[in-house]
Amino acid sequence: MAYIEVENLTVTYGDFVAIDNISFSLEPGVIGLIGPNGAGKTTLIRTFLGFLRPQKGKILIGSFRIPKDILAVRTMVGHMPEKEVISPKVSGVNFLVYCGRLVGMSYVDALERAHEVLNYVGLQEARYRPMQTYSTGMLQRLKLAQAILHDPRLLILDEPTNGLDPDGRLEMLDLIREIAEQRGVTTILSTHLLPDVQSLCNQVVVLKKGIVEYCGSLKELIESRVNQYEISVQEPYDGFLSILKNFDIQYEILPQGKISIYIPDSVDHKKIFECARASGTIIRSFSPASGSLSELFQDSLQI
Amino acid sequence: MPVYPFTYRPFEGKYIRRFRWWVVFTEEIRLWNKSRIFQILFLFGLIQPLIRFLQVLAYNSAMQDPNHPLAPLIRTVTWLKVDAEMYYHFIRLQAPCVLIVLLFVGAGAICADRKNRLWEVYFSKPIHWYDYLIGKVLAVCFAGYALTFLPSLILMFTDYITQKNSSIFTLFNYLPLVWKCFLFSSVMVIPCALGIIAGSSIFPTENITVISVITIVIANTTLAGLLSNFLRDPNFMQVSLPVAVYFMGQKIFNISRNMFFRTDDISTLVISSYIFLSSLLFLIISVYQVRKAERG
Repeated sequence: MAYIEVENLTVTYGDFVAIDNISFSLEPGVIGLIGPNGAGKTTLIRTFLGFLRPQKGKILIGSFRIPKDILAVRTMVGHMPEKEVISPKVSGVNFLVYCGRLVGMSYVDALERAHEVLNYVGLQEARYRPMQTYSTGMLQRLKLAQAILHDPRLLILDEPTNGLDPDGRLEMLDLIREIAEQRGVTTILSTHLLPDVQSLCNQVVVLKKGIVEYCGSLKELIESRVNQYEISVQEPYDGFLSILKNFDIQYEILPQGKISIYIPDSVDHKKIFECARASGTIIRSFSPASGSLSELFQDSLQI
Repeated sequence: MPVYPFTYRPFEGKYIRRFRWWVVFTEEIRLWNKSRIFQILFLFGLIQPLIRFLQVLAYNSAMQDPNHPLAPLIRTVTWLKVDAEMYYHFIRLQAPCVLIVLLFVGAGAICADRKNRLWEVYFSKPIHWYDYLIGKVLAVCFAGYALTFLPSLILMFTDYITQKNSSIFTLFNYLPLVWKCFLFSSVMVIPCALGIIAGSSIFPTENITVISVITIVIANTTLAGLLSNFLRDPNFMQVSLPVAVYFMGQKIFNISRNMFFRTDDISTLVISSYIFLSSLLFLIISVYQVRKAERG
């Protein structure tokens, strides 16, 4: 059953359409939200949180409808914003206590939870220091701490590894993985860093100019390229292409003398070389099309 | 395998869903109380209450003891008299302190949260814009009442317990005075707090808010002065919001001496409407800004 359902959603800023009539549904799990700058990722997140009211369309998170049940949604959602958040003279623990009380916890509960999550994110030593003395990495961890403080069922992370050094980034990814996998928290990860998405997410939503370019399983997206190969051949190769056509091998001519071919499971790879030999074409290189998310992302944006 | 040997438990407690503004209110007060500057300003604002406290003690002890050496002197000095007018002057003279303290606590109340991008965190929690705004406005108003109404109550209580013939029934005699002090304090504190909060919701930083609010108050009073001079009608001074507040105080305490108006010509309704509409305008500005952040 879908955990998040978006139907015909349109969000505008005045005359500018930021999200244009998109529909998708997502299962519980770790969801990557990717797209170039201005694609509408942050707008979508802000709409999920009720900061923006949709022009039209329907959003369901769990069984709650946005914006009608926004308080219920905010109770079950933890949000880690993209930009630096700081209350300069307030200590980390007091900031979390305040956040907990805003969610509706009693002071005692909020204090107890604040200490627990500060330990969890590795800020136990710095909990009583004012936030203005925190490094970027510590502020990122504190943002994560305030997001998980009330044990949310849905975690929305906007660029969680921004500004972190390589070690910090890996630690943050481990934390997110643990929260998502061990605690079963559905997580939406909006990021520009595609390796982060590839290492964490099982579903992905690719946005471009306010339109969903792809939504579904990341595994399926990568596997769709399993039988895809790239070959570079010496010209002329017209005869080679016509032989490929006879074997029902689909191809696409790419720039710089490259050809992208899809070999069905029923056809042996050796057949390609036999076709080349029969047409007198020289194959210079033969390699599987890369399944990295970066390339898939580039491809999907060129559609 | 966990990254850290720590973990956190599922939250199984109950959420308190009502009065979320109380959290914002108490947090604001907690934040000022930690500030040394606020403590100094607040103590400075308590100088007059302390003097008035001594005045009440001195007046009551002198007036009730005919053999008191200071009794003849105190009897002749009219401004030492402890009556309703003393409370009016007390609250009126607190106005500069109220403005300074309210500027200190209110100028950053909203703009600091916006500047530090805390809105995105706070409004992702289950609070409405009105919980947030009510908490902020009440906290700023509380600081104002703490310098006007609360000391008035203490002064009244001091007056009551130092009266020789005081009984539980005479306590009720103070009720009209309590009401007058509350009204005058409210007329002074609420527009001031709302104005500062409105400034804080518009301007980007605390300093700009303080400078802008002071500039607007000066410009408003200067405009009133110019109008009353050019048109040769002192009643145009009512355009000045601080003067209108003083006038309302005089009306509340039934004081006829007036330095600004020909009071016979001036309508209490007009001035109270002016103060009310100004406050409403400030409130609408704040509501617009905060509501926009919470729900777009």
